[in-house]
Amino acid sequence: MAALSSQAQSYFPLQFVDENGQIITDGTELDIIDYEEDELFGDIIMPTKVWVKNVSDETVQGGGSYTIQAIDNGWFQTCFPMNCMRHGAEGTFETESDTFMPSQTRSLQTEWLPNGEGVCIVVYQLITYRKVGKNYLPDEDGPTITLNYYYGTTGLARVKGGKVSSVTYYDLSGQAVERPSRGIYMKKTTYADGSFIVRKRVLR
Amino acid sequence: MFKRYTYLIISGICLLLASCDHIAEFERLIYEKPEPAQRIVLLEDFTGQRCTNCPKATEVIEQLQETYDEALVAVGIHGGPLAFAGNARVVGLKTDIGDEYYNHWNLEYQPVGLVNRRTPINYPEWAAAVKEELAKPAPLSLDGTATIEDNTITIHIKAYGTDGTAQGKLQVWLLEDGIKTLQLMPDGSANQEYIHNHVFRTAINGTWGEDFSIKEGETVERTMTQALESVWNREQLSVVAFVYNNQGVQQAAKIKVK
Repeated sequence: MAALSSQAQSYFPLQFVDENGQIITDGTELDIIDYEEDELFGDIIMPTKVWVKNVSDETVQGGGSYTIQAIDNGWFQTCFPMNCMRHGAEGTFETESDTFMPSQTRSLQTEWLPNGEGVCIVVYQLITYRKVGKNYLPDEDGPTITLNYYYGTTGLARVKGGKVSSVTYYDLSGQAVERPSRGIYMKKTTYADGSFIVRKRVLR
Repeated sequence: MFKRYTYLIISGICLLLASCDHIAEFERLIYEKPEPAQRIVLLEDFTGQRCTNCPKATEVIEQLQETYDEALVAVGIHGGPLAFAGNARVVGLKTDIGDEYYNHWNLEYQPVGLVNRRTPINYPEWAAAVKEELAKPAPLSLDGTATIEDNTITIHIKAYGTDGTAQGKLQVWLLEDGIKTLQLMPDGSANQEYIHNHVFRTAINGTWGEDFSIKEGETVERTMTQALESVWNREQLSVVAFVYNNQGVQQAAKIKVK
């Protein structure tokens, strides 16, 4: 059933894409560890380097909904597709919609602005809209991505709910990487009881 | 004898005609309805310096002002989570009252606007809403003066009832144009040279205004003062006055502070 769902989403007119324009598979989890210091506003910003593309040859009315599953501190902000929203607590929210021309790509303009160590976990889903009278109403649900923002080390332990003894990233050749930069890695999280989880991670 | 009666009859007819003429003249003194007032529309733009999409809404306002000139009064209210209060490096435009307005209207995103205090709407819909509001008759006209003397702004508002009775609140705000400070832009860049116009500075007669009522043909005048704050540029100040009730804004006016 999950496979069917995934296949169906690949035909959805709006898709998440990376900086190279490659479609990000429905259901992907992105670990975001990079941050910038905004000296003007005095903020720490963890940008999400994700774009949304209309992969169809028709004009599409699109937007998104997102569920903040966890936010330890600060603000989750999204300026997609035409307005800006900012939330500091868990909940599900829906953006306004806008028109996407065929092949048009626009930035998701989404970020976590932490004010301390911790995590922010957000599931973002694309939606198409149809016009009913003067208004646009949600039509179909599209692909999702999960955005796992980790700021500082405590966030890594918090997210799994257990005590983490180590986290190691491996590149695709199996070599351990001490300081992973952007790219695709296998992430091994080892817990205090000796158990571990290995998951594929895309670092942006 | 006959002549005497003839004179009496003619005199009586003349008197009758004269009195009939008098009644006709009296009847011509019927109530004349005041000239209809030109509708001035208020657009409250809820904006923020951290809001990358907000300059797009400002462009919409500029286009509308080109079209409608003084018939549209725009106010940029910096409130909500994307507004910025300022720090040692950057001048912020957020106000507590702006936050109160943002929360009162249960706004969820920015930019978002209220056209004559109807339902909050997204900026692509502003043009149609302004056009619709401009077509409605106004129950009153608003005008006034605002002058600075000894660091005090004295505002005199004059309202004239033009159609029926209007009841609600009279709200008077202070705005400032030409403030150069930081704004995040749609491409994500930070523009420190951005010029913010029609920025809400304060509510002169309380956050929600004062009780107000006016009847057709009646003139109501109010005078109020506002202490000038050092961060305000006195050359760029304006006063916005408007009367609103549960049916929205009934009339608005923008008055240059001199």
